[in-house]
Amino acid sequence: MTLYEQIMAVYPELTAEDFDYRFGTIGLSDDSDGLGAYISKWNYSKPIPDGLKLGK
Amino acid sequence: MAKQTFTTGQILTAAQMTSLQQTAMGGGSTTAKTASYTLVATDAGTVVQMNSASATTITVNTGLFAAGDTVQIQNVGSGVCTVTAGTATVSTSATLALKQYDAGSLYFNSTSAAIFFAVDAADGMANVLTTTGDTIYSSSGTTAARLGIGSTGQVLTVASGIPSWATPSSGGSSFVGVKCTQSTNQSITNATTTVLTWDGEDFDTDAFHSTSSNTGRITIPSGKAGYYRILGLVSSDGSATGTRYLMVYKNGTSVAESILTPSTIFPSNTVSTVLNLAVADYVELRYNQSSGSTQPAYTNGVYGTFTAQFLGA
Repeated sequence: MTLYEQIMAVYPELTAEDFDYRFGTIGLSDDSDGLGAYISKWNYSKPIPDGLKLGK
Repeated sequence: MAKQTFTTGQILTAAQMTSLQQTAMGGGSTTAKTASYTLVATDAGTVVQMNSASATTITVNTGLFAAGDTVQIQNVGSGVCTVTAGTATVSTSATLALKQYDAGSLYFNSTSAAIFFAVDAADGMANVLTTTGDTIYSSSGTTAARLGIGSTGQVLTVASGIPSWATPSSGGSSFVGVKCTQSTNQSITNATTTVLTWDGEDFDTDAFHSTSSNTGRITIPSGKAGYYRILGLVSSDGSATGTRYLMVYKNGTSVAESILTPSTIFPSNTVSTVLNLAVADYVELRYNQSSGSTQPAYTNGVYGTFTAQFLGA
């Protein structure tokens, strides 16, 4: 399950616009360094889901 | 002839007329001198020609000449002849010291004041040019010298204080830059901004890129700080859903972005910018797609590129 899918499973009300690179409230990034994707921005009104964190 | 005072009814002789013509043309009666000399009233309208191997003077005193009188002074000797104010004043914007073959005209504004108009024999520059493309420069003071044309590709430079043609040591306009390549496409997770990686180079003049570590980066090596043109291209599968972003990041911060709302036709993003980069600065291409599912970013072959071109310091 991707990071995007994990978040959507908790907050199914989120839309593609919430994840938009420029205008979204949530940013996901992958630095291609082998460490996988991480949350790089969280401005959504609800908390980061359990088990996830901001940054690598 | 020397200045005359003519009287009414006087008839000029042929010799007088000839002498007057010569005087009017700047020649006329010439008095040769071989030693320092003080002008006298009868020198008015004549040429005083100094010829001495030693330094001499020609002295100008007051009360001898009328306003409008002239005396031509020439120096044909190797010794410098200097026009010297005695009791009269002598003004000039040039030198009063006449080298060999220099000359001048002493013009009296009044009985006590004269102006010296000098002609320097070196004022006219000798032509040293011999060949097409030759250039003139001063080799020492007012001495003109010839610089022959250089070879194709050479540039004008200065060596030991004089100009010369030289071949640029660094080869002049040699290209500096890198073009990164990728052998396979890269899988991009939906809505996840991902650093694009590159496993090869078409060219890399100065080890800007590594294929073994931080393969997404172009890093500025030592001695190559300056302005760079950055070019990025990436393509993706046709999908009318979401957007496609391609960004240039400098040291982890976005500095240029392109956005594409795709269609079902194979969409391509391009991004281009010019950056002032210091040594150890790095740039990356990052890609974001929101098609709703994982999609390939085609960075391989003709579909993708990551290029940096050095423009200058």
